[in-house]
Parts: sequence; C-alpha cells; structure tokens
Amino acid sequence: MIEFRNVVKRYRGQMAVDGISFSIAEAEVCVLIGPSGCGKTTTLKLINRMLEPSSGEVLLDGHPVASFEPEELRRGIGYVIQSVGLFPHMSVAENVGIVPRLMKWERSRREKRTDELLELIGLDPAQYRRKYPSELSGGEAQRVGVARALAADPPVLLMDEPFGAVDPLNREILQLEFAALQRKLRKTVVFVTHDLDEAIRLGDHVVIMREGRILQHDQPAEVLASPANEFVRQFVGVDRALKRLACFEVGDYMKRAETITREESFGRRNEPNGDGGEHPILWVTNRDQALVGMLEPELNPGSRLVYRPYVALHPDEVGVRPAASLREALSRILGQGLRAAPVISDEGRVLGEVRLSDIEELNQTGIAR
Amino acid sequence: MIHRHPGADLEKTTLLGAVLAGVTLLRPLFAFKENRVALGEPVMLPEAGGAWVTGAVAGLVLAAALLSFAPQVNRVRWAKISIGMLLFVTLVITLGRSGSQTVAGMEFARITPSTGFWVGVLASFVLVQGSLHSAPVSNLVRSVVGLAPFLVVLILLAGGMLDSLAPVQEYYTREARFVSELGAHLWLSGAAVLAASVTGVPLGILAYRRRMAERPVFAVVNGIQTIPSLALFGLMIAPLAYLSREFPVLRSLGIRGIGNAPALIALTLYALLPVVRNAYTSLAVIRGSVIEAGKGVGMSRAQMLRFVEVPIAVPIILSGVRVSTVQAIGNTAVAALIGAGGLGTFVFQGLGQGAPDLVVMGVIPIVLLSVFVDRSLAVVIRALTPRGLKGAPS
Repeated sequence: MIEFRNVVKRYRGQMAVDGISFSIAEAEVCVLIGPSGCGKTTTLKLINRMLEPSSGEVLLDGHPVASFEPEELRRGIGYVIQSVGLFPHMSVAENVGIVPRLMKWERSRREKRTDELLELIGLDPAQYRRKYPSELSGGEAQRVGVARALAADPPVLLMDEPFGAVDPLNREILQLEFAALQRKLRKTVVFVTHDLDEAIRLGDHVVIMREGRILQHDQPAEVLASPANEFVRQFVGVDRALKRLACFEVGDYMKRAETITREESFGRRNEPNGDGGEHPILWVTNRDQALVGMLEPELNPGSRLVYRPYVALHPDEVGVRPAASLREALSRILGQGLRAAPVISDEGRVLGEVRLSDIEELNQTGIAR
Repeated sequence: MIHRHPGADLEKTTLLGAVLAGVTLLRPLFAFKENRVALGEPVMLPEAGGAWVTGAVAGLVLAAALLSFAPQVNRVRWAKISIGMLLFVTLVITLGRSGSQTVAGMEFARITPSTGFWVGVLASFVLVQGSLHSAPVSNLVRSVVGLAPFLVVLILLAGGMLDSLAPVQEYYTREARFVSELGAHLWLSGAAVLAASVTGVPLGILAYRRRMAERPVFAVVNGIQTIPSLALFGLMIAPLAYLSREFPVLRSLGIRGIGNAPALIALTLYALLPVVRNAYTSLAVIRGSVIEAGKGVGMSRAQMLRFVEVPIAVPIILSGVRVSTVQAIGNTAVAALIGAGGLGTFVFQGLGQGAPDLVVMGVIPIVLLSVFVDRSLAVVIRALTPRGLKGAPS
C-alpha cells in the first residue's frame, strides 16, 4: 500500500531521513517509533507530501506520491496531528466536514457523513455538532481530529503522536477506542509515537528509527523478543520481556478451567484421588455461573492433596477479559499470588483460565530466539 | 468580598454616584451671561428648577444612597439605572427650560452649564453604567440604554429647547462653517485611516512573515507613536514647505508646508501602529498546528486564505482599524493648528478668543463622533467574528 524506496530527506544540511526503504501493507497499523529527532515525523510527512524527499520516492498503491497534486493527495489521506489543530473558528461539524467541503460534496451528504462520524467516535451528534473546539476537552478534541481525518473515508490514515497531548488515563481510553475503530474500518495506518507501550498496543508492525535510519522493522513481539542491536535493546528497556506480554491476547492462551458451585464446594477439603501432579484451582461460581470465589489446592506434608478454605473473590479484581493482554493477566496472577487467573466474560462468567506456567513458557521460547 | 454574601456589601460605585449626584444640589447648575464674553452669574438648582425639581433631585440622591446598601440583584440594578436616567433627563430639561426663561428677551444673552450640571451628568453615567455592566442583559438592551441619553439631547436640540445654551448659540452663528469643518474632519481622519490601513496591513503581514522585517517595522511604527502629535505636525512643515518650493508640480497638487498635506501624512503615520500591530497579531494568533491541519486536509493556498486565515484574521485587523479610527478622530482636532481645518478649528478659535463655549461646541461633536464610530465598528467586528472565537457572553 505504501512503499518507501531509498528515501532521503535533508533539512538545511542536516540528514533527517537517511535512505530508508520499507513498505506498509494494506489494512495494517505501522508504528514509527524512536527518540526525538530520529526522523519518524519527517517520514510520515513524506507520505502526504507535507514534505518532499531530497531523493528517492514514496509510492502509494504503486504510484509515486509525487505524481499526484499535493492537495488532491492530502484529501485522500487522513491526517491527525498531536496538537489536533482543530480550526478554532469552525464548529465541530464544520471541522469534521472540511474535507468533504473541499471536495465539493453536497451539503446534505456532508451533514449526514458528519453525524455518522461523530457517532462512530462516540460523540452524540445532537450534542456536539454545534460546539466549538474551545468547548471541548482534550480527549474530545482528539476524537474530533480523528473524525475529521476519516471524513472522506480515506484508505490511508497518518497519525502523528495523536494521543501525546492527552493525560495518561484518557490516552489509554483513546488507544483502546482507536484499536476498536481500526478493527472495524481496517485502514492502512501510519502511526508516529515515542511511547513504546502505545506502539506495542496498537502496532501490527513497529519501525524503530534512529538518526534517520531504520534499525528494526518487525512485529512488536519480535522486536521485544530479539532486539536487532544494542540501541534497540536499550530502547525497548530491561523490562522488554514484560512489555512483550502486552503483544499477546489472553483469549489465545486460555485453558479450560475447573469450576464448581458454591454448594459443591462445601466440605470439599480432601481430594480422594489426591496423588500429586497438576492440580488446578477450583473456581467457585454461583447459580448464574458468575465467579464468586475459589478453592486453592495444596499438597500437605504427606503429599496428600488438600484444599485450603474457601476464599471469596471479586471478579474484577482477579479476572481478566479474553481481549486483555497477557501482561495484564500476569499482573493479576502476581497480584493475587496464584498460579492462574480466571478469564471471565463481561457478565463475570468463568470462560477459562490463564496459567502462569504457560506465560513462563511463552516467555522462554520468545526471548531465547 | 468574594466569600461574603453580596447583600452584606456596600455597593461603592452606587455610593459614588449618589455622592456625585448630591453635588448638583450644592454647586451652580449653570451660569448666566449677558453676552458672549461677559462673566457668568451662577444659578443654583433651586433657583433654576424651583422647589419641585429640587425636591425630586434630592429624592433621587437619597434613593441612590439607600440603594447602594441594597444587594445587587436585578430589580435593584434597574432601579439604579432608572434613577440615573431620571437624574439626567431632569437636569437637561431643567437646564433648557430655565435657560430659555432666563435669557428671554435678551438678544445676546446665553447660559453655560456649570459644575452642578456636569457633575450631575457624571453621576448619572456612574449610576447607569455601574449597574448595567454587571446586569445579565443582551447587547441590544445595553446599546439602547447607552444611546438613550444622546437621543434625549438630540430630541431637545431639535425641538429648540436647548437654544439658550452658549455652545448651541455658538453653533447657530457658524452653522455653514460647522458643516464644512465637520466634513473636513471626517475626510481627514477617514483618508488617514484608509491610507494607514492600505499600508499598515501589508506591513504587519510582512513583519510577521519575514523575521528580518519585524524589528525595523515595529521600531519605526512604535517610534512614531512616541512623538507628541503637535511635534509631528510641526515636523511636517519644514520638509513639505521645502519640497513644495523646489517642485512646482507638488505645489500645483496642493502640497504645502501647512494645510491638508502635512496633516494627512502625520495622521496616517499615527494611525499606523494599531493597524500594523493587529495585522501582525492576527496572523500570530493562528497557531502553527491550525495551518498544518489546513494543509494536511488538502487546502490550497487560496482555500487556506478563505477558510482559515481571513475568518480568523479579519476581525482582529478590523479591531486595529477601529482603534486607529478613534485615535485619528482625536488627532485630527490637533491638525487644525497647521491649517488643515476640521472641528479642531473651533476649539483653537475658542481658546484664542477666550470663549470656552466655542471650545465646548467643537469638542462635543468630536467626542460624539468618536463614540459613534467606535460603537459602530464594534458592532461590525462582532458580526464578523466567528462564533467559536467569541468569548463567552458576559
């Protein structure tokens, strides 16, 4: 979808992008990441011709971007910037509808599309249409910025640290919203950030840049498992093993869980066939199959399996959702001091469990390579 | 102040208004003069208006004083506004009626408003605006209340009820001259502002776009502003006289050391600063991110101008023009000193002849003109300002 061929960009004698070549597949999120001044934003701006390369070329769908009129090109590429850059004198609806307006859509079609987009990003059109940027919170403004970029349904979306100016709590919400949106829209997204966690969370591929060069271009899990060089190793940090777990979804590593009802759990202290081996935690559920507590197995001095007394649990404190990352699962497991964490549905039903041993194994195989 | 109940507080503005209003009872309302240069004989309010009017004014003073201890709620605000209005109308009508009676049958006799009257007008202003500015009313109501006093005076003037006033008499003896000087005044200030806008806006834009130009442009424009206007008019005389002497072409165009040409140049130079400064600011307030976003959504240069730069910049540029205009109207009065004409002519004539009423007759239209132009431009600017850029309505 997007291809860089030996692209060089010099600014006033300084090398910003130093002969990079890579390509981005359709419908994937490619995250450009690196320390400031590494050339990631420059790379992004070369795609929609906000900047022109000093040499080399950028191809979009097989055509050199230089062969398009810059304005035409940009109307067909969504662009979201860190400072949002909403037009302060235009209402939310006017901001979102600017590209259709530049493309001379009819008013009715424009308005319909605007409302559609506001709903898509989770802002009630009736309430937000007429608001002005000065009346929006940072997170709302950022969402409107995304809606504006999506207005003409461009196949490609460029996002330059779009959530950088938002507080950490809202940033995470925006990231999750964006991931959900992307699952629905399947755009080709080029995403610039300096936040590694964000890159891991959102990227299908990560491009690590330094001094205008690409150091590594791979899936996030691979980058974390085997950094290409010392710089990348340091950049991803000593906790890369932990970070890497964020690349995997709980649902993919879920095992069958043993559940019993509260009634069945009464008096269940000794297992008749208790003879060592793997002994799962018994997750105790109520009549609606919702998690209420557990019985944890333990080998007593005589190597006989016994269960410790019933412990009541709060599903939201111990359970993880299937869509959560293994990193989150690990933090629950460690937090509770257990060997596994229950995987629960939104209603609190037990779907399965994630085991510490599986996570350890995944970690071993990945990092060893 | 903030943490106490508003009602527990003394409303200082209102109290000031009440005290000022009280002065009308103690100081002469007007002075009677047998002729233009005669010394005036002071006339107090009771003498001019009789017991009823004096009682009424005293009542208003007392009411205002009492209300300054009342909580600032809407009903109280409107009561104060009414008191201020009533005070004004009473004073003006009393002045007109008593003046006409006093001068009846005497050909050159006239009256001149004195301290009592002027302080009363000030009191009325304080009472009305002091309450109006915090009142939750629309801009329309605000304008109507603000314009009402002028309307009252205009109606009374048109009805001939203020004919006994000395400035009005001065006006009648110079009606034709007044019209032509008013025209000259408007022409001079208008042309200066136009010239300043035509040169100042590009200068401001240049100063913003070229870092090299920023310092010199502002150094010059700010520098001009620091020269006293009288000195600047004076400075124009020598070089223009020289040019006019050396180049007959210029002389035939009417360019001389005194008159319109130097006045226009000086006025234009003065009018530059607000225009240049606001043109510069108008671009500076458009944040880089907004320009980048405009470019990023695929705006051409012309579309950027039309959709982004003009809507944001024009109201700010016009605000500069507005300041300039008000300034130019005032400065034009001084231009009369170098023979450029305008309403300043009457002011300086009056000063020369020791006739303060003539001065007043020149000053009042200048003030009214300034206020009128200022308010009108404010309305235009407000209409042109996009809603998203207007502050929350106060």
